[in-house]
Amino acid sequence: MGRRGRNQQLNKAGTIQTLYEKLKESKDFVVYHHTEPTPCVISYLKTMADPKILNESILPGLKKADLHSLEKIKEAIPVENISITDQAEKIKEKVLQGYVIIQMTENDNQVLLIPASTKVGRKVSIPEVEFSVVGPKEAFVECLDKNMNLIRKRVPLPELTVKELSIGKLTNTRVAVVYIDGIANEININTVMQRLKEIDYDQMIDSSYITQMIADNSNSPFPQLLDTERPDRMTEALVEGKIAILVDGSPHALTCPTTIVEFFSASDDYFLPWHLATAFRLIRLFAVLFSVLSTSLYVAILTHHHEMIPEELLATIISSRADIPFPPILEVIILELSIELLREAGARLPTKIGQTIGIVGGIVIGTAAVDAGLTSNVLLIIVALSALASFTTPVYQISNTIRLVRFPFIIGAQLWGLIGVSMVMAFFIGHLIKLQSIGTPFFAPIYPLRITDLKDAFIRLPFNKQTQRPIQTRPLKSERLQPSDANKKRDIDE
Amino acid sequence: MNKKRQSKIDLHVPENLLVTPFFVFFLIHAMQLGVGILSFETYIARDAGYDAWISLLIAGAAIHLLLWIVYNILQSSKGDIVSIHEETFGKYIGGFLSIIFSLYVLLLTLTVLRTFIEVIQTWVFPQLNVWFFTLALLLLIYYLVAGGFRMITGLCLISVLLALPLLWLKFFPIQAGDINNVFPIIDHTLVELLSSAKTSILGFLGFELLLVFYPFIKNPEKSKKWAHYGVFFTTIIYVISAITAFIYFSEKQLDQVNWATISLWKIVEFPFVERFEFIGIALWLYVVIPNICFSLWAASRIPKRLFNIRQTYMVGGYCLILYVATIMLDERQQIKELNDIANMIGFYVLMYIPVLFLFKKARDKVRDTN
Amino acid sequence: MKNNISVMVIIGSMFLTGCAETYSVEERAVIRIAGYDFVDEDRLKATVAIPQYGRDESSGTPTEKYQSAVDHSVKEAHENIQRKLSKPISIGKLEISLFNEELTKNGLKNIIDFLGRDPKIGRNSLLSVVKGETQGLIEAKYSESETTSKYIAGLIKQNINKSNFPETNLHKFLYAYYADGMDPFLPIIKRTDSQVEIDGIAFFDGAKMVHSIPYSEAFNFKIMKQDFNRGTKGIKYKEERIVLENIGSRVTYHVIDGIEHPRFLLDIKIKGFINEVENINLKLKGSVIKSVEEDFEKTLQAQSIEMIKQFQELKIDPLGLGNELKNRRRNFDLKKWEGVYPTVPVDVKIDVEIIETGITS
Repeated sequence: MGRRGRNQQLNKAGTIQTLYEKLKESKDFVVYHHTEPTPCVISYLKTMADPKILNESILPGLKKADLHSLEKIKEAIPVENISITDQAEKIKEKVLQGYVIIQMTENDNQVLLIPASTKVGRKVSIPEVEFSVVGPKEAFVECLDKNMNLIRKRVPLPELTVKELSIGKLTNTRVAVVYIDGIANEININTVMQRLKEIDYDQMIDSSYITQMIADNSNSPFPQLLDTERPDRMTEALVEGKIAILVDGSPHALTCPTTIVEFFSASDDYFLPWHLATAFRLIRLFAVLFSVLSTSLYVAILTHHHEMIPEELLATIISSRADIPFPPILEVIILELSIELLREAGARLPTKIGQTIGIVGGIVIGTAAVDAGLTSNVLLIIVALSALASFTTPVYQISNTIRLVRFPFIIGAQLWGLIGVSMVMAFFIGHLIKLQSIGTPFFAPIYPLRITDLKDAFIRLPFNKQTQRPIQTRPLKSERLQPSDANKKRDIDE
Repeated sequence: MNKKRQSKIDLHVPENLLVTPFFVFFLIHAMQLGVGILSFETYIARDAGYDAWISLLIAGAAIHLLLWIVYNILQSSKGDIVSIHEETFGKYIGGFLSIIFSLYVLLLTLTVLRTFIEVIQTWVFPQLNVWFFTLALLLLIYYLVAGGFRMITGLCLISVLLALPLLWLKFFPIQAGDINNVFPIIDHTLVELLSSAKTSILGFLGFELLLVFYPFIKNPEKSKKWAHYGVFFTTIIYVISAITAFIYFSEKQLDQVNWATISLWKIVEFPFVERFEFIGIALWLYVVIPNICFSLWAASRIPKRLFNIRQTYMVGGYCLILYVATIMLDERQQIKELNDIANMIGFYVLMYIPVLFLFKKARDKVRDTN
Repeated sequence: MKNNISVMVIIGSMFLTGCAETYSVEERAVIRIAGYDFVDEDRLKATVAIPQYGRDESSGTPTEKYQSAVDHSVKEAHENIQRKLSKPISIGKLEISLFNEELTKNGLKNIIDFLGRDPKIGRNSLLSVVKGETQGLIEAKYSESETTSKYIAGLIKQNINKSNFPETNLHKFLYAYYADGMDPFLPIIKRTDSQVEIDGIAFFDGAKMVHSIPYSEAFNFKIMKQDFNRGTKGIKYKEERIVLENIGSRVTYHVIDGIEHPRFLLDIKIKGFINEVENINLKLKGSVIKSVEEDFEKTLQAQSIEMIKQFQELKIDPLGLGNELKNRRRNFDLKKWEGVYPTVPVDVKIDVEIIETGITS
């Protein structure tokens, strides 16, 4: 109760005077008494207001003549969207955004709000997490307005609707829900809006907060909203009838509803011819399976089912393991943990050192471990490949899931060999069947089986076959293109 | 009066839990295919020799007929087995029969569970720690059944998708065997064929769960077609498996083999993996789990409908029964007896379906004239 | 929420109780080859070879360790071997089992039962009869680059796939052993100083070996037994030795007349080419080829009929004629068949077609 009460007190501005008192505590709050020719009080946050607007528009405007009322001043200053208000709540919000306040006297309740805010942030740059060789090279930045600009310029439609909320009792972060009206289903929109409104937390630093807070099952290791830093990918999602969530201060947008297979499709898949795209997507899916299962299969087969190893491989495997002092399970856990260690170290260190550590760790430690007889070289190859395979996922979040998920499999393998692996897999399949993304099934199009949605799941059919939007998003308008006669098969010499 | 209304409310299934008629195919098929298919070849060949595949077709046809009867019963009453029993036999006798049905389904669950663990003990881990393995398996099953009917439908679908590729492996034994073995066609008397058909029909047990999950189907009238396709598909798979075993084994040899289908996996070899039976048994878990989950769900749904108990408690209670029974039955002979008993009761249940149909018709007629 | 806790409990308990004694593959004595010798009426001697894989020897061949023990049954003998080893025996990768001739003649019933019953043994593993002691054959060193098991298994497999030996493995043996109207056969191998060679084919009546043919006649047996497309056969043609290379032989069994008085016709079609002629002056023209074909047909037919006669006299049926009859005619009666088998007329028709004579004429 206590904390909540205090938060509310912080939010309540009370009068302008109490606001002033609070702000005056900060060094960057400037109160300037203008005298000639117009006597008035100008106050603003030095760090948030643009000095250019102040010096070139506001001060010259006030110099013109003696202006007796705020209305007069408003007319004199050549800046758009000036407003006059006496609502303390609004004044607080605006002044914190960098607006300049003008009052006739310091105790006046009526104030003039002049937008002069300036925001520091980086420029739009190339995507770093979801890099693609071909295709657009723009990525979202931390500024919501810039991000909206990136979307609006791709979808010049009046139907592109942006609903804005502010979330976080202290941070008051702007959160935008974007969708195309007439395509996106209201049920989904309402669900998203409802869940966003229900968020009760004091801060909202990044969009990943939202992923965790509005997820249908927050205990699941699987992310239930897809995050992307690519405006083109988000545009694609919007066109399919999905809903995007943008958070001010986060360079990652969220799209929902999503499915498990979507996490394994890359933007590249749409920039390449469909057969190549399909082949690469299948390779990626295989890589994921390999990454999850390879080490557990190693444990299962070596510990319980050595009959399965073909004769030629048997000699290789036995001789590589001949002097290893640990059973396969320990060997695998040690090696998997050291790979995780390298990954964590690589992620925390500055880019350049990170690369060095990766090479040092990978090559030097790996070779030394094999030479010292601590691990077998067969396993080293498997673990390194499975680590590599887990990086092929286009979405970073799911690759974290894959990292974690393989450990239960290893335990299952140690206990009951392949049957243990099967049991863990059954658990995860069951879990995925249960899982929902904003109220729609997460395991689609496998279950519920949606054959029409399979055209862009494990394979990607050519664009002229993508006549319908996915059923998954329950779009209001599902037709994408009118199948034309031009695509019809022609007979020879016609 | 109040009680009657109560049961009407129970019968109503929320719209978002209904499944489309298409999935009835997977539900019926996945429930019919269990552990039986791993060993049925030996038993059906005992009576009709290598003509037994004809018996399978006869059995399949009989099941189609029974399915038609089940649909007839269900369509005229628009309920499930509990409401049908109540309408036909009154509250007490009907309720009693429903409980019997629930226990029968539980027995089916136990049979599948114990037999699968037996398979693991025979083929993979002779020293399996049964109490611990069963505990883990049942916890997994509890988790899955708690996901409700939607989850079970999904599992049935996954099971078909994962187990279907195993059919390709039949290519290996067919290649190694002699097709002439199944000839001459019909070398046995009709009596032999029918007695083998009686054995084969047990492989099709499980479709009667339709009596329980019927209210969960959206547009149930349209599901009839899919249910028949499901039975047909099961028949096809049984016939393919039987013929493959007949081609691969000589008749006397098959009689010696306990798990013919698994033995067939043994000869599958790829450059990177040999001895496919381990993978086969591990993948068979995806056939067995939906089977167990589905029957456990159905068994626990009946008490829920009868007494308005929370289904979660029933699932938990039944799991406990299954656990104790699985640990108590630890000899191969006992497991064989369990299978025999389950099969015998299963056969009576199949016989009971037409009886129920006649009773219901008679009852409807009486009510109409009144 | 409850579910998640229970999952945690399972995972936790798995760690605690799951660590039962397990042996990973390098901690097992993986037996690749096992041999069984006759000791006396109710005892046998088992010999096994266990490859010793070392870390540094991964490039070369592993050495092998040999163990043998005498006991009443296979399992007991294995148990006796186990007593002498530091690692548990694993029979799962058994590639080939050898039986010495004397043991084979006394019957293999218990060994067959053991091989058929144990789920760990692959159905593709090989069986073979050995002339002389199996122990000596297993313990001898043959090759620098191969283990004994790999060498012998390779020898037999290679002869099945690319040469005159008919297809055999554990499953085929069990199939014929249990089938009505069919008897099994196995290869016979023999050790000659520093190498092993295939000596012939052993024929069984049930589990007992009763007959054998030399390797030179294996081609005749194989063309009657199965379709195949390898192997060579040489005959005398007008005092010349001509060798026919088989590139495709097809055999069809015809059952003539009813179940009461069956007659058999084996229709064999061979396509081949001539790739060795002793006399360089012999021009292989159309007419000559024709007469060479006829000669081949006659010789092969006579040899095949002779071979079948021997089978009938010994009442063994490795070709599976009884099985054919059972599959072709209704109301097959095993007892009756066994009575008539020695006198059943079997005719062999052979059609040889020479389609190539090489690149010199």
